[in-house]
Amino acid sequence: MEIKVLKNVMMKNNAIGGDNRWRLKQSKVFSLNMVSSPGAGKTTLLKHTLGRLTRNHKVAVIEGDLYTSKDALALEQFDIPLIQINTEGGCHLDARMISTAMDNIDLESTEILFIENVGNLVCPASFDLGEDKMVLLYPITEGDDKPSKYATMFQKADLVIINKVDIAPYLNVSPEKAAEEVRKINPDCEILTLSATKMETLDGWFEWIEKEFSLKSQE
Amino acid sequence: MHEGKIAQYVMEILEETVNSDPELKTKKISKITFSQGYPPSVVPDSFEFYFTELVRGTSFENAVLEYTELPDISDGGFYITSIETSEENTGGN
Ligand SMILES: Nc1nc2c(ncn2[C@@H]2O[C@H](COP(=O)(O)OP(=O)(O)OP(=O)(O)O)[C@@H](O)[C@H]2O)c(=O)[nH]1
Ligand SMILES: [Mg+2]
Repeated sequence: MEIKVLKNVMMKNNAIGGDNRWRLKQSKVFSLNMVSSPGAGKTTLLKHTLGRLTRNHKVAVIEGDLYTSKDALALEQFDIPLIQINTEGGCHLDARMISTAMDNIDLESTEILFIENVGNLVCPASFDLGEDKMVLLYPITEGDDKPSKYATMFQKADLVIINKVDIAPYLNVSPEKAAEEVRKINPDCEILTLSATKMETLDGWFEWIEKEFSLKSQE
Repeated sequence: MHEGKIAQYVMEILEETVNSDPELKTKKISKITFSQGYPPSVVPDSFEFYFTELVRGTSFENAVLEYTELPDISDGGFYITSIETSEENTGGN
């Protein structure tokens, strides 16, 4: 006897992602899921971002890491809610982990929630966390052919940040070419070019956050 | 690399499906068919590595796993399309 089931397995995750999205909307929290390959500069960018944003926004951070607390420790200097999730080898954060982490954050007094996903350019694409925007950090040091090779992640991103452009002159890579390649895979996303280590290159990023935050507040 | 988590989700859905049907509960499952949307998000070999562990000792243990593609569905979804029972009873209730 054959029984039709017809269930999308990903719905197990995505249903919880949907609940998360609802909770975040209720509390008017703007949330960002920061994804990238390992070492692309997520924590570095977050550190500079918190230094600036905590002046006039209530910010919280969820740090995903395989086993360590290194990234969370790097952000400890800021007096903000900071939740560490260890995936114990898992290659991505999933919606259930975020739901549990959110239980430990006072969402009512949070305006912006940053989620640093596990460094991986494949798996996080399949797991909706319930975030408003997916931000993909793409370091130019990886070469300008990555968008087509890791297409799913690039397709899902709302914002692609081409990072580490300060080193581009030392390598045979061009940020312009990288941006073109991103466009081919995802014509709709926004693209920023910067160096997470250089505060003076981050204005576009801060403007983007403010713009998206105020759009979200008006919903 | 995320197939371990997917295998857990599959197991949860299979158990919910079987437990909601009293007749199904007593049967062994001979075949499970999966379909993948585009782009495919699950590598069958890796999935089976985890799934085989999870089904040990359950009525799904000896099920044949089959995969089909749904190139027109571009949600990257992984679907359980159907399960087939064998005539054999599980021996329990
Ligand atoms: N030159 C240069 N180095 C950078 C830049 N951004 C990050 N780095 C360096 O890249 C290395 C990795 O940065 P992280 O911020 O730890 O990267 P990450 O994405 O958080 O890494 P994981 O969490 O391990 O995936 C560090 O040594 C940073 O100083 C940049 O714009 N320019
Ligand atoms: Mg990091």
